[in-house]
Amino acid sequence: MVLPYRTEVFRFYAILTGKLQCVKCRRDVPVVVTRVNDAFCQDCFLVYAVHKFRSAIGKSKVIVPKEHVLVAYSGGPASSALLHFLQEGKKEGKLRFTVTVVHIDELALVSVSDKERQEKVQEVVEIVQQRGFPLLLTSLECAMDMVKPEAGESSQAPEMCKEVTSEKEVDALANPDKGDKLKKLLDSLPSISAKEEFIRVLRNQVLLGVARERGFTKVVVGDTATALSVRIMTDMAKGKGSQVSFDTTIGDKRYGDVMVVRPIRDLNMKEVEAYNRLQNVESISIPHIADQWHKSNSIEQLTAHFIHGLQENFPSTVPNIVRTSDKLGHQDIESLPEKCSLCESPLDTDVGEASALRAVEVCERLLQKDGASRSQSQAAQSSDCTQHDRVAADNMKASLCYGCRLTVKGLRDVSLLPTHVVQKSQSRCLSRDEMRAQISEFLLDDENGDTPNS
Amino acid sequence: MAKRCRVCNGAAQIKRPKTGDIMCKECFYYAFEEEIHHTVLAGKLFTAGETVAIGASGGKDSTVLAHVMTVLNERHNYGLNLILLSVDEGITGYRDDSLETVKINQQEYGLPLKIVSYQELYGWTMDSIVQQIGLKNNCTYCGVFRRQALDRGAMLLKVDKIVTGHNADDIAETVIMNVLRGDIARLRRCTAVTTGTDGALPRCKPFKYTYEKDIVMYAFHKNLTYFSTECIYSPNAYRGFARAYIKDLERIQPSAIIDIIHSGESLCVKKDVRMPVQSTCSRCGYISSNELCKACVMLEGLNKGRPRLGIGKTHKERRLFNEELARQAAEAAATNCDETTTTTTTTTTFTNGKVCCGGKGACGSMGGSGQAPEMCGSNLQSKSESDCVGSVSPSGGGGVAECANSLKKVRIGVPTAKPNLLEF
Repeated sequence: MVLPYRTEVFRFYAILTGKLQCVKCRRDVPVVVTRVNDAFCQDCFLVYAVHKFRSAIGKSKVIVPKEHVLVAYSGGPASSALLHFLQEGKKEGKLRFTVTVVHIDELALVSVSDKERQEKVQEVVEIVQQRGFPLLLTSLECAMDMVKPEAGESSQAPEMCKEVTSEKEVDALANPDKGDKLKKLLDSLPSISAKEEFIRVLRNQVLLGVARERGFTKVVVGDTATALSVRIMTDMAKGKGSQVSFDTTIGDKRYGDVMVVRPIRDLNMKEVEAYNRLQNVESISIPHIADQWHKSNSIEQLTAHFIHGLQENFPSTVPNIVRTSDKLGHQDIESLPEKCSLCESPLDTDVGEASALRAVEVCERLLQKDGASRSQSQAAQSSDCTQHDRVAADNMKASLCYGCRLTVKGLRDVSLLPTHVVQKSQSRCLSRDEMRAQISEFLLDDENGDTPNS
Repeated sequence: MAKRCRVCNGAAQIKRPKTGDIMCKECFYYAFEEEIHHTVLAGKLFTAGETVAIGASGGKDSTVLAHVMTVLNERHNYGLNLILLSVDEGITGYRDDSLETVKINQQEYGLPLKIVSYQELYGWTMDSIVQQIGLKNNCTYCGVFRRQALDRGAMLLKVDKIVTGHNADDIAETVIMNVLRGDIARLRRCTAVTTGTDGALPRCKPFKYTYEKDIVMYAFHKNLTYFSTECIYSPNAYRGFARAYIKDLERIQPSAIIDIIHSGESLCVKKDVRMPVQSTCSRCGYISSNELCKACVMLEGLNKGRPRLGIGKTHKERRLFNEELARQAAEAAATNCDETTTTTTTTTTFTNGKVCCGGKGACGSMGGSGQAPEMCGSNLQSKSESDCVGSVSPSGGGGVAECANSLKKVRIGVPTAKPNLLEF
């Protein structure tokens, strides 16, 4: 009987009969099979995993010695493994930088009692203290009224995060006002895909906000290769193709002042899980609003389902996708003046005439072709929102990248968005194109748009 | 309560798939046609006086394309001479039916028609190719051959451009497929509205932003006849995965298709990534990024009974092929000839109908893979020649007798009959 090569049964059989050996030492019994059929014994696997982690940081030189970095910890398996790697490195004296951990509490979105929330946060505190790193606690709703501190001024805004020095001092960062604001905003977003994208972007903003407040220039996150491949496909599906190269590179420099580092991007989820199992690394399961979303209404869940399904039959899928994104780059950051007010990535809306964006605009314009309907549709709109709202909405739209425009599409009242987003959209500089559009009938220019010298 | 059209406020009959707007038929036709017109203008697709070949397969895209091109040519005075160009791949039960539809189109729009066939261009039909290669990589053959066939037909007709009916769904699928397969060169090119401007005949896609469902809606209401069945050989194509994903995405968020195209357009390749350089094929003169164009490589493989020459790693296949030829010459007078033929009769195909891995080479110390080709993805070097697994060539005889292996067979074969197994 011919057994399919890659199934667990076959591997078990092969290990038992000694046909499959550890590919490194060829001596010990393999306990883990990664990728297609690379079998490792326990010792060799741990060496392999740790090596991947350390060389990712070492080769790319994204973190310099003696630097203070912020490490994001969500409680899930990947970030738990990340903390363990760091702890081991510290124990062996090989950790050349200092680590502070930050945890973002997202339980405001789920209906749990305050007591339960407290308990979950307590669990996080215990684990991080076990690892021996200082902890900062913050919550997702803190991003609703974040203010970027101006250089030199003392910040009047509320603090983003709290330090936790002893176990007794933990009180949940539940801020009911901000929490309600966030919930109201999420309820106004029409689709679940918009909600999930918004939460993800907001989480990023919180990390950046904490880093900026406390003076960190590096934020380390635990993105595995599998998570990255899902991220790439989701970005493509949501019109965020321009951000794919940023979202997957090991040192993400798009924000300018803070760099996001992804040291476990070479390990896939199975390898991380195996590592956790072998090293007895605990992860916490925290209820999240995304648990109730399903692949029939959430793009991210659908994509994850798709990729995992493909990976079963074509095991090179995840490495292929990540490798493709490695080849992608972006234009010079310095030459891109504007950043999206919501996600802070460079804007990708300055495209030529022959583009998808223009096609969408043409589509909308054609709907108002006949004069008869225009007044009607405008009348319908005006009953819902005032002229002021419309101007605000237009301004907001112009300050967002394509992907974020999609996220807030259908949001009637843009003032519900976080404070810093609204502020940025109001105070943005007009791009040259918009300036030209305003004065175009007065410009006596040639094709290049250069004004002749008078 | 009757719904009112969003644009003209008349009685509405449809909900537009692309945007979800409630519209009446007339406004929908107008919106549909004008969007395509905008794509033509924005992409500067045509200049007046050109002769343009419409790639017509008889399916919905090409039927609607013929119709819309005729309408817009008149309405907006493009000044184009339109010709219908059709390719006959030789797939019985599929292509011969759809060609009838093209002939009807010819009469409806009064356009001249030219049909080129694989048989006359290459000497092979898709049916015979599938008999050689099986159902796994046949789409590669068909695609490569069709591209050349269209170009050659167009050159015969002396046209300036080709237009094809690739719609937004197709382009989105291509983008997703290229990301999944890591094909960075194609990823960069596939979202361009006009491709092939350097050297070869340019081909444009006026339907680039038109949804497939919109096209069906248009054809349905305008009563345009078209042939609509899946190609009988296509179910195993890798594109099917991308298509299923996109269909699911569209259900969640209809704008996802355009979003994917926008993502594809925003992608920017790093400067130091190696890109294929364009030159010409040394055999047939067609454009190619290697010394021999893919069609020549594939044809050679087909004609010499090694159909996998065009699939996978060409240089490896060619090396194996050359070694095998050398060995054949050496063994020409050997008395083992009879036994080798017997070995080849004990070929096995697996219960799922697939043949063995096709000379991809070794499966390592196990001595033969014994599994269907898509699973045998290992890249280990052969330990010894006899471990190598060859493909079964149903065209049989011709001196290219190759053995197929299952785990069982090799164990029997290896100890006694090393010289019998034709080694590559």
